[in-house]
Amino acid sequence: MIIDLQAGEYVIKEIRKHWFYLVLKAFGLFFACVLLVGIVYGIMNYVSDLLVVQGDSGYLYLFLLAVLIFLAWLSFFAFFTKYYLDYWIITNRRIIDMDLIGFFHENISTVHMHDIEDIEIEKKGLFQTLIGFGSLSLQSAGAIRTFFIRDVPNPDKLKDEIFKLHEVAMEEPHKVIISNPT
Amino acid sequence: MIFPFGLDLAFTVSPLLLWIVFAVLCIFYGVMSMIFMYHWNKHGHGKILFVRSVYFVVTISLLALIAILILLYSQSI
Repeated sequence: MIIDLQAGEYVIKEIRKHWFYLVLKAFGLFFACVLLVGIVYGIMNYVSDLLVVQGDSGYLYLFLLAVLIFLAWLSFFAFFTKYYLDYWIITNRRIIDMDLIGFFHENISTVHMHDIEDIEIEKKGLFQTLIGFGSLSLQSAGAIRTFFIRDVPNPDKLKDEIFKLHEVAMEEPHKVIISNPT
Repeated sequence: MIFPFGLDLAFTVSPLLLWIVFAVLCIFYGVMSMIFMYHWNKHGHGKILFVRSVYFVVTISLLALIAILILLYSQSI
């Protein structure tokens, strides 16, 4: 486990963005590739006088296509890694946001269940409404005032689950440290 | 094609050039795989074995295909 759980704390679930987000990225990549193939083909024809192709040009075209597919494949896995590493861990006491901003830039933020004051759901656009995913914004009394959980499946159900955990957390006794100024 | 001022920009696509591109792709693949593996091991907890297998099998197949195409191109000279 990447996070240190407190005594009595256990993981309830890990949430990732909806798969539609990944499919959308894959489609974007596919169309970018198709566009790139067209551009490369056009350039190759335009500069055909400049290119001295020693062998069969058919193999050269296939080579370029294979290189493009290879790069697109690696790019898709870069998207997948970003998708997989951008997730939320819900424990009985906290919600932890693991955010991979870049491959070498991670951001981990936490909101405690007992700090949650309000949860707002947003489903924006046709796909989010039809497929059933959306974003949650949690108003918190902690250091992070607004905590976002974006593009997750079934935000309504998740909201209910978080509220239940919030209620349980509120019933638990808290350790309060009062510092003595003297 | 000879450009103005006698500038000749003709570019020869030799098999050596394609092998250099292949070598660059292999290095790029190695670096990216190391980064992916680091993150998948750190966050994956062994859950994405299927994804890893697909990634490595397809990527190595694509590299093999590229190498075969370079060989075919070399032999067609």
